[in-house]
Amino acid sequence: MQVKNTAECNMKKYLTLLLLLPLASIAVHSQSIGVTVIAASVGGSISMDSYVWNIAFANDGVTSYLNDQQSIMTIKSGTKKNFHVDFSSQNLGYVKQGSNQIPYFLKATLITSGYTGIVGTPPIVVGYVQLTSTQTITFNKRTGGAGIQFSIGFQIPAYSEFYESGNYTDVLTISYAAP
Amino acid sequence: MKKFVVFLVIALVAGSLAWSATIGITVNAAQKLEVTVDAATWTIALDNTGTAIDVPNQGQLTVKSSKASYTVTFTSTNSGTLNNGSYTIPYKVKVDTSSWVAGVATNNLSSYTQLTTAKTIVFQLRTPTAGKTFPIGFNIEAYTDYYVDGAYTDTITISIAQS
Repeated sequence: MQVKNTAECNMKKYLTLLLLLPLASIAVHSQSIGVTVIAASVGGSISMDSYVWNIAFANDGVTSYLNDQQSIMTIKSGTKKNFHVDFSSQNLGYVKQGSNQIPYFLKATLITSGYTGIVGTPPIVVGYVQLTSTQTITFNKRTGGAGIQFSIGFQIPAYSEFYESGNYTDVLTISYAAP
Repeated sequence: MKKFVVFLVIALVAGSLAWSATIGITVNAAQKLEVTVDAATWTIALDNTGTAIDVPNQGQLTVKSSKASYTVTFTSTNSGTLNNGSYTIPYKVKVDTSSWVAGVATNNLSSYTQLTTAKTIVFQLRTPTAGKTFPIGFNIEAYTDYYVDGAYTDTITISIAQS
């Protein structure tokens, strides 16, 4: 009889525990855990397929120089969606040889399909421009890991006077900045 | 913990860095130094009357240069004479550069000159791409003796070089 009572008593404890378990489980699920993931900020980058441009100019007063793909520029935005790329010239859009100078013009043509992050219609994207001042392309979308590519065109128009023959140089700087 | 903090700081700095690419551009403007004449041969009638021949516009010389300093040189194969075997007729030439005073530093052919030696015109300005054109004059002075009849020839060579 005592054995039976002991068994019944154990059964009751077991049932009680089974009843309490869901309650305990509910209590656990009602707890909140704050999870914070900090994604490191990764900066953007600009790279070119060529950092030295050597250009032969006919200098005959008739023949202009035009290469719509003088170089390929790759832009990677990193983690920022708002960024801009600036084009500037050390000689303000001229290649120089001493006091002699030749004006030149640049154009950036997006060749990566499907990217729609260019803000507005920057002049350097619309057509050839002389870098008498800094030209800017503003972006509002990230580029993806592979980046986006632009074809950089270079132009020297024909001119009715001979330029003094020889080598004319300039330094073009293309900068990426994210606010 | 310190490593984590350092990593975060570096990540933030990298995130705010501006990147740039620098491109060196070199344009080589081709050199242009050229002289041409409107006619490669001159055929001149000498009537053998003793009368001088003076043709101020016998030919046209066109000069093109992408250099500011250059020299045009005239030379004669026979040192300024037309030859027919052992017979000779002295002649003179001139180049009228008065239409471009600013571009000419020295013209040693501004008046009729016999090409006993090379004669030069020194320029000091680049020409337009169309070039500058100057008349070449030809002269045989009056004479008192007949020249033996026949064809007398010479070759004038005009060259251009950077000074």
